[in-house]
Amino acid sequence: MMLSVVAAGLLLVVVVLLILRPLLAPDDAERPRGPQDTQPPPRNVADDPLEVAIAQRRARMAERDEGRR
Amino acid sequence: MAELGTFALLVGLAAAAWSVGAAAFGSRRGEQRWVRSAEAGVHGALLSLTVAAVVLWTLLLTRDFSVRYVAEYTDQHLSIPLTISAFWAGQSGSLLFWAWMLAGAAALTTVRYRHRHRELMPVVVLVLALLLVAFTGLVAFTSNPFGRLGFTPTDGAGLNPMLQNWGMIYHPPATFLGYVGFSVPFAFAVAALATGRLDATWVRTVRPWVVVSWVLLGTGVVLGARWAYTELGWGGYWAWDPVENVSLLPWLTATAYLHTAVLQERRGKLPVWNLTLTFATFAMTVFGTFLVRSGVASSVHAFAESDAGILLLGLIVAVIVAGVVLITWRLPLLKDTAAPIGGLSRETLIVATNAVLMVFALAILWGTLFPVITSQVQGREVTVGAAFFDLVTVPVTLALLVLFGLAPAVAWRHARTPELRHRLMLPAGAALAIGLATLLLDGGRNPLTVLTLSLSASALLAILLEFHRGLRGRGLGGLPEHLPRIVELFRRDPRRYGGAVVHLGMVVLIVGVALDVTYRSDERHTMTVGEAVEVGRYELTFEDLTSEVTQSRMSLAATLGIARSGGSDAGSLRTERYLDVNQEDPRTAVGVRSLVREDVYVILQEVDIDTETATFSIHLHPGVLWLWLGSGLLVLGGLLALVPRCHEEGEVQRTRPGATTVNAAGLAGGNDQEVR
Repeated sequence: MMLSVVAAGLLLVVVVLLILRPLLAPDDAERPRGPQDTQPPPRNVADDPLEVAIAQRRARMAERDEGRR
Repeated sequence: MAELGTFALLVGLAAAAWSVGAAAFGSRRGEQRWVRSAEAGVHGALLSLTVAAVVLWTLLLTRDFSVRYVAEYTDQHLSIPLTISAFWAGQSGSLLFWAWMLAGAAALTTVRYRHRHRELMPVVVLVLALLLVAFTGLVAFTSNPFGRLGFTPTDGAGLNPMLQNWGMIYHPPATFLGYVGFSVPFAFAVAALATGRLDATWVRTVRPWVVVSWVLLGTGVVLGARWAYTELGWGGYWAWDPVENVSLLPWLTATAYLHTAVLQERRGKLPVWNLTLTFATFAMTVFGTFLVRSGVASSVHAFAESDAGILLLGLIVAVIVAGVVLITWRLPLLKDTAAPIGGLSRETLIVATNAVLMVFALAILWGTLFPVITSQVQGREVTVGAAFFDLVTVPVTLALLVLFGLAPAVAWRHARTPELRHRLMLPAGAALAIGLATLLLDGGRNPLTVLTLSLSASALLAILLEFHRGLRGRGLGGLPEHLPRIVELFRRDPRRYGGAVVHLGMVVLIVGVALDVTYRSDERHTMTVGEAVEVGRYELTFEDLTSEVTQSRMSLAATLGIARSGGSDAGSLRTERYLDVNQEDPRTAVGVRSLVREDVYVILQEVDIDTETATFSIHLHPGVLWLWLGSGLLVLGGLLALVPRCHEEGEVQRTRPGATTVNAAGLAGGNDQEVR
C-alpha cells in the first residue's frame, strides 16, 4: 500500500513537471536556431544540367497534359 | 495496487486533457511553448498509461482475485504466457491496451515530427490528445479493469478455453495496433484540412503509418483466421462473422488509400478522395471497436453490452461529421488541377482497383450492418449468411486478378499499344495454358475455379516478368540466372517491388482459397485402435488412444499415422477432447498435418474408452498451405515497401521538406520512371 502511494505521488510529480517544463523554458522563437532549422540557400536551377533536364521534362509533360485536356 | 492503476488512469486522462487545452491555446496564440507543453502532456499520458498497464499485468500475474478483471479472466492454472495475454481478453483490459498503444503512437508522432511539421503539429497533437481523452475516459469511467469485487475468491473463473491458444498472444495485439496506427493519418488529415496545407506533404508523412498499420491489421486478420482454423474446430478459417468483417473493412479502405495516395504524390490527383479514405479508414476502426463492445452484434468475438458502445457510436458520428464539414469547407483548395485520368494507363487501373475495393467494402458493410439495423429497428433477428458474401467476393476476386495481371504491363500516363501487347503476350499465354489444363483436370465441373486459376497464372507471370524487366532494365541480368540480385532491386525501389510482392501474395492466397473452397472433402469414420481408413490419397491409421488427468484438465487424445497411397510416411497428427476444471462442456483440439498439396485435418468427435473406439471427422483441405504462404508474402511485401530507398548513381535527392527524388536514368523517356 505504501509503495502504491509513493509510486502514485512520483507519477503525479513527474507528469506535472513534464507538462510545466516547456512553459518555463524560453519559447522556440527565442531559442538559438540549430542546423535542423536552417533552410538551404536558394539554388540557381540554371546551374544544374540535371535540374534543367527535369524542368524541361516537367514542362513537356505539362504541355502534353494540357493538350490532352 | 489496483488503486494505483485507477490513479494512473486518471493522471493519464488529466494529462491528455491538458494536451487538448494546451494544443488549442498554443495553436490559436501561435505560442510554441504551449504546443510543446501539449506534446509533453501526451508523453505524460503515455507514462501514466504505462504505469496502469504494468499494474494490471502485476495484478494478473500475482493472481489478485480481489480484482474483478483478474478473477474473471485468470485462474490458478493458467500458464504465464496466457496470463500475460489475459490483459486484452476482456473489454476493459483491451480498451486499456488500446488507449496505451494510442498514447504510444501519439508520443512517437510528437517526437518524430515536431521539427518537420511545425504548422501541422498543433492540430495533430490536438486530435490525438482528443482521441486519448476519449479512450482513456472510456476505460476510466465505463470499463475500469482495476475495480474490486469486495471479496477475494479462492480461484478465478479462468480464461475462456477458446482463448487459450497461442493466437491469443499475437492476434489481438496485432489487430489493435493496426487499428490504433490509423489514428495518426487521421490526425494529419484533420491538421492538413484545418491549416489549409493540402499539398501532398501530409500524404507522404502518413505513408509509413498507413503501411505499418495495414501490415499489422493484415497480420492480425490472418492470425485470427489461422486461430479459427486450428482452434474452433469447424474446418474453416473465415466465417464472415461480423467482427471478422469489421476488421477487414479498414484494411480494405487503407488498401484503396495506399493506391490513390500514389496518384496524389505523383500527379496531385484525387486529394478529396484520399482525405475521404483516411477519414473512412479511421471511422471503420472505431466502428469495429463499437461493434465488438456495444453488444449489438452476436459474434464469437463480441463482449457483453456496455456503456462504451454508445460513446464509441458518438465518436464515429463525430469523425464522419468532422470529415464532411472540413472537406466541404476546404473544397475550394482541393481542386484537382492535373490532367484528367483517361485511356489505358496505370492511373486508370488504380482508380479501377479503388472502385473494386470500395464495392467490396460497401457490400461487406451492408452485410454486416443489415442484421444489426433489422434487429434494432424491427426487433427481429436476421442473419446474412456466407452465400451473400460469396456472391460479392467471387466477382471482386476475378476483377482484382485481372488488375494484378494488367498493372505491371501498363505504363503510367498512357500505355503504348505495341509495348502493352508485347508485355501481355506471355501472361495471356499462361492464362490460356493453365485454363485449359485445369479445365481438363476438373472436367468442367467448376468453371469459376478454372477461371480463377487461369487468371491467377496470368497475374503470377505478369508480376514475375515485372521483376525480370526491373533486373534487366537496371543492368542486373534477367530473373532466372540472377535471382540473388533481386535484393538490389528492392533496395533501389522498395515501394514498387514491395507492392509487387504484396500482389504476388494476394494471388497465392486467392489460389489457396479457390483450391480449398472447391476441392475440400469431409468424411466421418469410426475406428478402433490399429484400424486404418483411406481418405483421398492417404491412409490414416488410428495408432493410439491415451487419457490424461491433471489438476486442471482431463483429456483423451488420439494419434493418427498418415501414409501416402504410395506407402511413404507423411507423419502423424494428434487430436484431443478435453474438459477444463472451470468449464462445463468438453472441447476439441483439432489435429492438423500440413502437407504441400493439402492439410489433413482431423477432429475427434466421440470416444468409447472401453472399446478403444473413436469417431473422427476427417477433412482434406487442398491449398491451405498456399493461403498461409500468400498471407506471409502479403506481410513481407508491406514490410519491404517500408525500407528506405537506396539511390542509384546519377540520382539527385534533396533533403528539405517536400523534396523531389529523381532518377536521372529515367529522364531518358521511359514510361516507368519515378518523377514525384
